[in-house]
Formats: sequence, structure tokens, C-alpha cells
Amino acid sequence: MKKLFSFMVIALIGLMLVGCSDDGGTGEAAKGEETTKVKVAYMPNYASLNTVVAGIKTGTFKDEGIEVELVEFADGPTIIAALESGSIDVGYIGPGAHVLPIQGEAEIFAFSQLGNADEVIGSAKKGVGNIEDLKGKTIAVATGTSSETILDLTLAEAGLTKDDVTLMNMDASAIVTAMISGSVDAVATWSPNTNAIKNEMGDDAVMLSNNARYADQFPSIASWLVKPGYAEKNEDVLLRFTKGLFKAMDYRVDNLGEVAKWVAEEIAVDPDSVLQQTGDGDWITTKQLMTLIEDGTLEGYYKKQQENFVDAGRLTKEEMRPVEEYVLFDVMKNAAK
Amino acid sequence: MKGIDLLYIERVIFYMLIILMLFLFLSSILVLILKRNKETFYIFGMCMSLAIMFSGVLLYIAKKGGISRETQEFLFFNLEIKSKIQYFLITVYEMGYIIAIGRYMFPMFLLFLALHFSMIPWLQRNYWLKRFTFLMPVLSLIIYYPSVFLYLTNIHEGFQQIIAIGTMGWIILYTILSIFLLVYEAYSIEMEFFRRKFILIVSFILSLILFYFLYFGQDPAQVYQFYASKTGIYYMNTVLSIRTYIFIVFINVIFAVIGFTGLLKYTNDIVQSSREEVIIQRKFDAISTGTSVFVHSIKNQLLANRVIFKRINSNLDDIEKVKEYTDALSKQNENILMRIEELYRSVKTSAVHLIPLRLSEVTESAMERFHQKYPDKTVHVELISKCNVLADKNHLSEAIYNLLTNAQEAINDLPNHEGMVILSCYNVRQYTVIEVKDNGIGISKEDVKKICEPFFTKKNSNYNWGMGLHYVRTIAREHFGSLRYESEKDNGSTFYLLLPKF
Repeated sequence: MKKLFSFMVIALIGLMLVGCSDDGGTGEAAKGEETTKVKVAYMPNYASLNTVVAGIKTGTFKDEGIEVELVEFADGPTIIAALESGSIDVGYIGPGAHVLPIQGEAEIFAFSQLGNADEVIGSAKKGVGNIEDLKGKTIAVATGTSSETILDLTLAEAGLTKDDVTLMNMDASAIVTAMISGSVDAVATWSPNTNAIKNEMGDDAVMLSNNARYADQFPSIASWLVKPGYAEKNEDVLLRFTKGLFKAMDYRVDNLGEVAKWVAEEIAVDPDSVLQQTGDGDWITTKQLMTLIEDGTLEGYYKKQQENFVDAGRLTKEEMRPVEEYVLFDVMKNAAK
Repeated sequence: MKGIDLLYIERVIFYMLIILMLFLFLSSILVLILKRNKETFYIFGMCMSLAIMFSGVLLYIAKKGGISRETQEFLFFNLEIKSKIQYFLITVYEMGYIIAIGRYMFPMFLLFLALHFSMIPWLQRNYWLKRFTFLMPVLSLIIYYPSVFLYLTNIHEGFQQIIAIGTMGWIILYTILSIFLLVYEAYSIEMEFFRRKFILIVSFILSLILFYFLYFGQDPAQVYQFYASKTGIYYMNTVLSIRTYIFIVFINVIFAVIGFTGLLKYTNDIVQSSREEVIIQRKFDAISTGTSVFVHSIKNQLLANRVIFKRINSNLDDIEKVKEYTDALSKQNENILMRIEELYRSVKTSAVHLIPLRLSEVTESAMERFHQKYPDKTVHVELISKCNVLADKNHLSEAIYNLLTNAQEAINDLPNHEGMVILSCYNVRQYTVIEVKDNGIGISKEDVKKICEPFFTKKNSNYNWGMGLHYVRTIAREHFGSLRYESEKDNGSTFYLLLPKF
């Protein structure tokens, strides 16, 4: 036993030494100190990744002295939690998680796009062909996300409430499996999960509603954000990052297909499935964004969003606050200069 | 990107993680099968809880993301496996409750195990404490049951924080208490061979705790509120560097191997000693050896008697001489009777009547017998006061007497009265130990294994038939105890007669 012990101790010390020498190795790699590393949280879909990947590939971030490190997340609330913990610097969120910046958990420094990624899909086999059929059915939903929002809107249109259906609270990936396996009658989810379901189920998957259907009632906003106080402390870094992001935004508008391939490469999926997602958003240029800001349209979107959250019971009236308190219009304006 | 070497190491480590889990699983099942007792059941429970908790946490991490590619590859081997796990069909409530089950069962089994090992009399007396151990885990599992949990947090949002802190509190309390009990126990064991084995088992348990502590802070409520958690995401705050993971897994593998070897060895000990029993029994049954020794000895004595008879016949006139011869005959006769009786006793030990006795009565009787044989020799006696044992006075004192004479014979040849025989009695864990120690000639390594076999003897005399230790061993077993010994050539021997504490 003594021999075994001493062998293990030696092995342990050996491992530590290997560890130490390895440390020296990674130190060398981080030589270039002129660039600032920014950790960016994304979700593995086209809408979330297109600008940032275009920026990395075309070198717009590099030009600003920014090195982007991508970290994958499944959803917006987790990204905000990660921002708080400091494990990432910048994050992208879809519409559902916007309730958190309104409540003061994050600050929006750039508008991304109006999305059309959320859908409610019914299973024809299970007898769900239109929104009225949802009554009494089992629906998979990711509570606290835009999936819940689109479901609320759809149920309301059909004159139903959540009490009229059975909800199964799942994560976005499990929703896909639940629908394909026939465990639920309908789902509320977002792209690319919607595409995955349609590809798998074919005609059995019936789209009941999407963001476009409620565009006037409910702008489906996606934004870039940082944790409260970050913008003040890292003004320069954030400005440079936004500049890189905007230049990439402009490139993307003219090269949707090419960027889709890059995105597919980054998240290691079939390029076709990403190409299917190029219609998920209303992609705009920096110039168009400035117009939206100047004529007050953008502020209007965010205001409307707050009202929607109040209607859905996810935000109280007291929690509503002026848009400029949490949307940093100045960063966008300065970056566009 | 990374070098091939690092990638290779990661894969190896991943396999280690999987193998470790499998190893823990299979070994705990194996040990449980081999040794169906409480401590192995508790360790099995701990391993199971760990596996359940880790499955839940890994499922959660796969679905939630937010860790670097590198860490993902470490935890899931590759991204394909990760996405398979990610798409696993399960509701957030089921996922959270899986974590809850593992999270709350582990400390419970841990404390049960620690209480089971602990010999602190107060703890042993107060049996309600063991029942109390159930309380917090069961309560937590009820509170965290999804519908109950949603109901409670609907009443007041603040409850969630209270519940989270409360459960974290008792988990830490249980763990600290368990670690204290285990370490205290290891510290207070007096007998070396017990302590060595116990420390192996304790270090294994500690490594399991280290493993548990990797993700023990993952509150199931965070999983229930998959997309709306305001309390943060535990695993994200504690993302470790790959090197730290490797280190922890490495430490765990080492201790798991050591711990299970300890447990298995312990088990093996018992398996082996019962096998030993079989061998001894077989040898004993193989009458050829036994009978031939017996017959040979008896024959020798009878032949000696024949010589005496012849002499008597040729010296019938000399009364004095005849008297001398008949005295010799009578002595021989007594001797033969004594041998036969001894053999009979060691073969027929079924007649053991256990009654509660003062241990001092037994040792006094043994000393009496000893002094009949060696009137001028002394034995140092160290007794604990007021100790009772369940014993057959006659047999047990005979057994102790056997050990004492053996010890005396081992020191007989030492010069200048340096030899010393110590008889001491004390309580250790669940045993009352009668220890006979000498600083005599000791037993060589080859012989140590054989000394309990019947008819084995190194003492070349007409008066020793090699039945002594076999007899002692049989008597110990009849008393539901055992005989253990440590000996080294030229360095004396120590024999422990372990009896269950009464």
C-alpha cells in the first residue's frame, strides 16, 4: 500500500508540473496586447449570430482593436445572468428577455432587429389546424421567453386563456423533441427550432401564428446589452465594439447567404438550416437605424414592448420606466458617426 | 485552436469521468453484494445520489449552455453528444426534481454513514438522532416537489430565497457534522489495524464529498425557473478551469481506487477468513493428520508405560523401586488423560454457555490456571474497571490461559528476565478487547499464517500438540468474536481476543 501511495503522490506531482508548464504555453499565446478581448454571448441561430460573425470574418472588430470570444447560450435570461456574474461582457437577447433590462438588470446599447422568429405550431395529426383548436390541448412552452409571449397573444386572439389549455414548461430543445415525438399537441417556440420541427414533421406541422401576425401589437425586438454600469466604466471598449458591430450589420444586409454559411460553420450545423433562417428578421443598415432613432420610432417600439409586458402580467405598472433610462441611444449615435 | 495533445488529454479525462462514475456505480453495487451491511448500503446510496445529481446537472448545463466550448467538450466529450443530451425530452420540473433528489439524498446517506461509524456513546444511546437525519431531506424533497414549490412561491416570492438558504444551510451542516464525526472516529480508534482501514474508507468518503461539492450549490429552483431565474445560474459562477476539473477528477479516481480497495479488502478479509475457516475445517476433518499425531503421541506414552511395566516386573522385590515406577505411571496416566481432555475440548466446543460475567472474574481464573503451570512467573495485568462480557467462564479463561502460556513460552528463553507478558483489557468501537502481549521470540512471516491451524506447533515437546491457538480461535468464534494477532520475528507478538461489547 505504501508503494501505491508514493506512486500516486509522484503521479500527482507530475500532473501538477505538466499543468504548470502548460500554463507557460498559454501565456505566450496572449502576446498581442493591443486588442481588447470582449466575450460575447450568443444563441445558436442566424438572428443572434449574423452581425457578430460577419464582423469577425470581415475584420470589422479587428479594425477597432477588438478580439471577440464567442460563448454559446440557449436563451436570453441566462445571458443576462451571465452578464451579472461577469463571465461575459456583451450579450444578445430576443424579445422575451427584455423584461429584465426594463427591471434594471441590464442596459441595452444597441438595437439588433425586429424579429419574426417566434411561432406557435400545431400538430395536424393531433387535430390542431387553427388557433381555436388549441382549446383543451397540451402545449409545450418555454416560460419566461418570447415563446410564452407569442402563445399569450395567440390564445388571446382565439379568446382563450392559459386555464383553457395544459402547459408543459420545457426548455427550447426539449420542445422540439416533444413535438416531433408526439408528446404534445402544439408548441410555442422560436427559430431555428421552428424549422427543425417543420423539417421533421412536414405537413403535420401547421404554423398557427408568428410575430408578423401581431407586428403592430407586439414589436418583437432583439437587442445587444451589457450589465448596468459596464457602459460607463468601459465607454471606449463598448464604442469600438458597437462600431465594429454596425459595420458588420451593413455588410450583412447585402450578403445574407454568405453570412449564413459563416454562421453554420461557427455553430457546426447544416448550412441549409441556417439559410432557412434568413427570413427570421427585418435586417436593417446603420443608416436605417439612425432614421428609426431620430424619428422616435425605435423609442416607440420599446415603449410598446413595456405595455405588452404589463398586459401579459410579466411587468407591473410601477416597474415601467422611460426608455432612455435603459436604452443607451448615445452609444448607437456615437458609433454611427 | 488547441494543440492535439491538449485535446487528447481532455478525451482521456472525459473517459476518466465516465469511468469514475461507472466505477463508483459498479464497485458500490459489488461491495454491497459481497458485504450486505449498513455501511456499504450507505456508500452505495451516496454513489447513487451523486450519479443522479450529476445526471440532472449535466442535463441542465447541456440545455442551458453558457460555458466555453472547451468546458462543453470536457463535460460531454463532444458537441454531438451534448446536442443529443440537449434535445432530451423532459420538463424543467422533472429536470429540477432529479437534481433535488440527488442533492438531498447525498448528505442524508453521508450523515447516516457517519453516525453508523461513530462510537460516541451519547450518539449511540440517542437513537432518535438517526431518525432525525431523515427529517431535513424528506422535508426538502416535499418542499421542492414542483407543485408544492410553485404553490409556496406563489404565496410569497420571498419564500424562494428562504428555502434556498435553508436547504443550503442544512446541507452544509450535515456535511460538516459528518466530516467531524468521521475524522473524530478515525482519531479515536486505538487499534492500528482498525485505524488504517478506517482512514482508507474515510478518505474515500471525503473524495466523494469533494465530488458532490462541485455542483452541490445548484438549487433545483433555478432549474424550475429555467428562463426566468432571478437568482442567477449556479454553475456559471463556478465554472472551473479545465485544469481544475482534471485535478478534481484525478484526485477522485485515486481516492475511489484506494477507498474501494480498502472496502473490498475489508470485505475480502471476511471472505478470506471464512475461506480460511473452510480450509482449517477441512484440515481438521482430514483425520489422517490429526489422528496420526494423536495416535503417535499416545503410542509413545504407552510404549513408555510398557518399559515401566517391564521394569516393575523385574523389580517386584524392591518395594521402593516399584513405588517409584507406579508414581511415574500414575503421572503418565494423568498426562494422557489431560491430553485427551484437551483434544476433546477443542473438538467439542458446542457446549459453550454464555452468561454475563465480570471480565475480571474470567481473567482471574485464567491467571490462576497460569500460576498453576508457572508458579514463579508474573504477568502484568491492566484491566478497565467494571467491564462485563457475555462469556463462558471456563472456556474463555482457558483460552486466555492458552494465550498466556504461549506468551510465557515465547519469553522463556530470553536472558536476564527481560521478557514480559502483559494482559490488558479495554473497549474499542463495538468490541471488548483482551490483549496478550509479549516481547518474546515472535513468529516468522511464513508461520504467522499457519499458527491457527490445528496440530501446528513449533514447540518441539511432548507436552504440546498444537491445539492451543485453534482452540482459542474456536472459543473466540463461539463468543461471536474473533482472534487477531500481529507478530514479528524477534519482536514479540500481540494477540487480540475481540469479543462483542456487552
